[in-house]
Amino acid sequence: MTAAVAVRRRAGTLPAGFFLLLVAISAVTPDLFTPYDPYATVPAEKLLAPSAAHVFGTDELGRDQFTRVLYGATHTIGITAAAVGLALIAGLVVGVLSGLTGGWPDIVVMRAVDVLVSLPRLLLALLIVTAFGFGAVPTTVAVAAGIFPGLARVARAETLKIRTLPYVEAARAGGASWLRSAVRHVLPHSWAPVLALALLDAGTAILVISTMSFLGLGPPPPAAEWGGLIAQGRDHLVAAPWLTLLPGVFVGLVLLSLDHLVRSLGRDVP
Amino acid sequence: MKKLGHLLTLLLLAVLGLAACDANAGGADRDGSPAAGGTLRVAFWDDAQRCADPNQVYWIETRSVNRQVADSLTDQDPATGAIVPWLATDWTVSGDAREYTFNLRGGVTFSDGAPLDAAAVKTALDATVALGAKSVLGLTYLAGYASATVVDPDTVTVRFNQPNAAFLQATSTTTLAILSPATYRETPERRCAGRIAGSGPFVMDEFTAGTRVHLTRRKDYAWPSSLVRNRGAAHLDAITFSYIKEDSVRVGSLTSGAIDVAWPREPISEPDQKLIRATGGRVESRPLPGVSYQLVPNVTDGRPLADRRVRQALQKLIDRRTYADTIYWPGYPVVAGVFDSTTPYFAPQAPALAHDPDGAGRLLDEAGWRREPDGYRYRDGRRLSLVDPVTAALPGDQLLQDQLRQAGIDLQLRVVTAAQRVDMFAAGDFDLALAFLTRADPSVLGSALDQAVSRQGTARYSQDAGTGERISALFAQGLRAIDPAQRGRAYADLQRYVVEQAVSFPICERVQAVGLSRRVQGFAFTSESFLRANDVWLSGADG
Amino acid sequence: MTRYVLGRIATALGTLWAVYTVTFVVLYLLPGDPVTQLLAAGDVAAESLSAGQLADLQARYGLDRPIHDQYAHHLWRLAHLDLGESFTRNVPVSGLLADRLGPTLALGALAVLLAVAGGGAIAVMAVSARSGVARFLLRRLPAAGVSFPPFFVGLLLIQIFAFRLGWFPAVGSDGWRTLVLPAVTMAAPAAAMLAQVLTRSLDRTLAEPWVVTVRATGLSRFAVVTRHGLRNAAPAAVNVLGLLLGATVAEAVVAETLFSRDGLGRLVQEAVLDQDVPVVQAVVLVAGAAVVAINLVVDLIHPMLDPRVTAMRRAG
Repeated sequence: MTAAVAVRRRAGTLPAGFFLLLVAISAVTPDLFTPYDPYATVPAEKLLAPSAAHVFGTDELGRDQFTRVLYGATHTIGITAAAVGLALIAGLVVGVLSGLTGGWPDIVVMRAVDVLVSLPRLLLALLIVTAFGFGAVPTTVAVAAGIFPGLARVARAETLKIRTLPYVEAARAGGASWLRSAVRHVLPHSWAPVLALALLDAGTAILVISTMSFLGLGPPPPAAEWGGLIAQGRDHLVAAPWLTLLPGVFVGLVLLSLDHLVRSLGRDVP
Repeated sequence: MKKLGHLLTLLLLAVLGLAACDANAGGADRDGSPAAGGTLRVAFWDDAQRCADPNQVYWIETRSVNRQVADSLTDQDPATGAIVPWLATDWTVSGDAREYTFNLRGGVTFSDGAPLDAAAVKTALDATVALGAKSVLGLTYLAGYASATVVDPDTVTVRFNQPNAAFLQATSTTTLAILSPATYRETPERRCAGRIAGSGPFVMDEFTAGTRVHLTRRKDYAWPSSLVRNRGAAHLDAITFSYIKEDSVRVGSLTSGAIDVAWPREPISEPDQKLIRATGGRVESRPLPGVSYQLVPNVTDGRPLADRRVRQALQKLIDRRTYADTIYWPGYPVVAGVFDSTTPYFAPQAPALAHDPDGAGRLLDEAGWRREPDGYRYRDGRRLSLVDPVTAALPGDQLLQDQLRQAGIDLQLRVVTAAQRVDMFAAGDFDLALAFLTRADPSVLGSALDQAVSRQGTARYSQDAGTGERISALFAQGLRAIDPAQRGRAYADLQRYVVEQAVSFPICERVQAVGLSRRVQGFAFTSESFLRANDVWLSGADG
Repeated sequence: MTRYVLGRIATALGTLWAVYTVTFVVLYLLPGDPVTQLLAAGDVAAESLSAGQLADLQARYGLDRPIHDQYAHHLWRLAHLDLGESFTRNVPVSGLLADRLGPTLALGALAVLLAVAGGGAIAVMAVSARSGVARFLLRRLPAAGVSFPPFFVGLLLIQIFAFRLGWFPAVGSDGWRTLVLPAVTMAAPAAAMLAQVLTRSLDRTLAEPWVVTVRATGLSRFAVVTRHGLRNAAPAAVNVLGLLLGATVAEAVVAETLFSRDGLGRLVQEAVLDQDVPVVQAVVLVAGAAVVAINLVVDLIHPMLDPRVTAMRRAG
């Protein structure tokens, strides 16, 4: 990588980070950024084109589309955080334990993880949703199941690396139980690469969640998950294209910023 | 951002302008006599049932296909609801509505060459009854069926062991269409897969469920009902049916000329209609007769809707005109009862369904549901929440949710799969259940509400014992009366009583709005708002 | 070498069995009752079956047996390529798959071709373009391709190329013209990913000392990239390509649903909405088998592209 490129990357990091920060804040307190109620219908003002009053226009019930995108962040980012958190915990526990234990349990667990990796994430999610129904909780579980194997692999690899470090071996030889050595020595060192991967996975999670809502399998309205918003707008693709295009660009910018941020933090994106 | 809006508007106008220029080019022979030939390309939204057999089909889009392939004993006039001769030239009905004798038209053949006779009619009716639960509609249409007897080759008598005054209308439906005897030697599954032969103006030569259906004209067809202008073979050479799920894509396909008929389930939106008109096309619409789109309460003790005052408040809180104007378009028919306006014996209840939030508020206060600072109403610390299981929360559901929220009621839209919803309805795990059903006869409401015949959750949980008895008695009265005036009175009483007791909350009419390209002429709806293609022809068919 | 190949094949078969077990565990231990689905659809919500008829239906789909029995029975059938019967369509699942496989393969093949061509072209131009601005833009472009959701890209394509320009139909399965927009939709993220990997590998190659020597002989940057760089990038590209091929069915879910095309993707999307368990299971199995088979091929190709792999595998 040339020095010039590195500088440019850092240059873009600030706006990307700032944008993500705004989105994150709007996910917590969307009412800071908009005077409208996302659920209040105003039949007289339906399908208005974008204007100063309605930056993203209004939907078929006269609701402000920009407000719905902001409130949608609550759902999308909420599910993303829950899914990544769930996968993070499961991945760390499985990966670290498997790596520390070694032997045949390690082989069995890692083979199972390989199997999950070999299934495309969206299909794994569809499988889980078929079994457990639609909505926010099944979506969370489905997305977490897709992210977890990668995290488990990285956590295990880090554990193996750390396990053979002299001081850890010394601690174990000194009679420390493996649970103790896991908590004291392995976890503190292995979480950093896992966390970097988790941040990257957050982008994937947003993609899968919005795709599932788009396919009609996400959280129910009036919750306006981003994919659901885009899906609802496509009925008006000809007459009111902004209803799909503007939220779509918004989601794209979030993912682009996330991707940019992860790269800037020094992780190579495959 | 305002600029972007202008830009998009300009772009749209430019496209419309181009399309409008194009529209002026053709269409010279618009008012000429019907031209023969051509293939009509129809696009529906979906086929979830995936069955071609009219006797088994409940999916309304497929019944538009069935109507072209299979004829029925009688036909029904869309304008008056009157039953007119078709395969049967005339008939007599016994005074107790248990015995029907049909005289059959001569010279009618099925597409496999077999003649239509009394034995064929008996075979068809017996086989439809034998389908049992595979024919959900047949079950009610033939309720109480005892036998069909061949009196002579042109005469058949059908007997019931209970009054069934609705049977005459049933004989006009595609569900009781008469197929050739050979068809009934196939298994029900193979019939579903398209192994059927009827006596209709078209023959089905391909049925790929949910993907493509192809019909070819029968050259020797000569026995339409009096409701058809074209007395001979169809003008069209063929009809293809395809399925396009996306509304906008379907409309785009129509305006770009890839299809001739865009036939969605939900009415075409107002902007899309404008687009269709801008390309020289038009939109034909007609409400589906039968049970209007409505919610039915669960009045089980302990649930909020057990209290009649709460139900009546709910009835007043639904702003049906705004619903029609917003979800559809200004001028869209406002629902005025438990039936759509095209249903025979329809008795409008508009005053009882008027929007009256103040009156509703008083009723709710009286019932002890008080507003709290969060905007919702509570009683004994419990929020006034109503569970409404849906398979997708459509804009209409969301509008209703907001209308009720303004009055302090928390309408909870639970999105579940179709199977889960059946479970929830059956278990009484709901406060409001969706009901609608297509049939051009008021007896159809019995499937949803009559506790004496229906085991559905919408019947079981929507009425306490006393109300249920009264409703069942009115349904029975309607099925006993063969005199139209008498039937009309029974069903008028029923419609008034159901709305008064708030056993049903009508939401909207179910309109079929069909987009037609400028080539399509002679389009017609049947009495059940399905396609009738006998008179359809294509202007400039080769261009 | 033979041991390596046999080992990989055994692993692949084992993975396939495990994929099957995962689908079975997830789908058949589910809380809902699949039989009710047979009655739930469309205009009528019918629950008019008697207990006897219900039992018949359960027997027909083998749902009345104990769970381990069902598992063994299904696995035995699977070994004979019998995938059972669809809950909602009254036809064997294998027939449905056979009908829908072709269109998806055609779509996937075109998408991969477009992805390779597009991704390769972007990567080569990104490292060899003369203008610094062009290089910078071409390097940023793939990030956008990965970031915009495919369904949004598809809607954009419909909006522009079907509705506005009318170059391609927005919908349908007939003819090559209907293939173009969905294939581009699927290819966009794949091309972007490929471009990222290739760009990185080409950058590394160009930074190596021998390149300076080669360029001193008068070879242009473009020539170095195409003659030497791409060869070195091949192993990484094959890995990514394998990943993309394996995801074909998953990518097709969105593309086929959006463009109303027949194929495995739309089949599984509809089956999920219908809770048609055997169909969902079968499509996931097919997708899993594709991934396993492609991984196997990639593993077998690798030693040819890079002899160090065999040695490393032996060591590790």
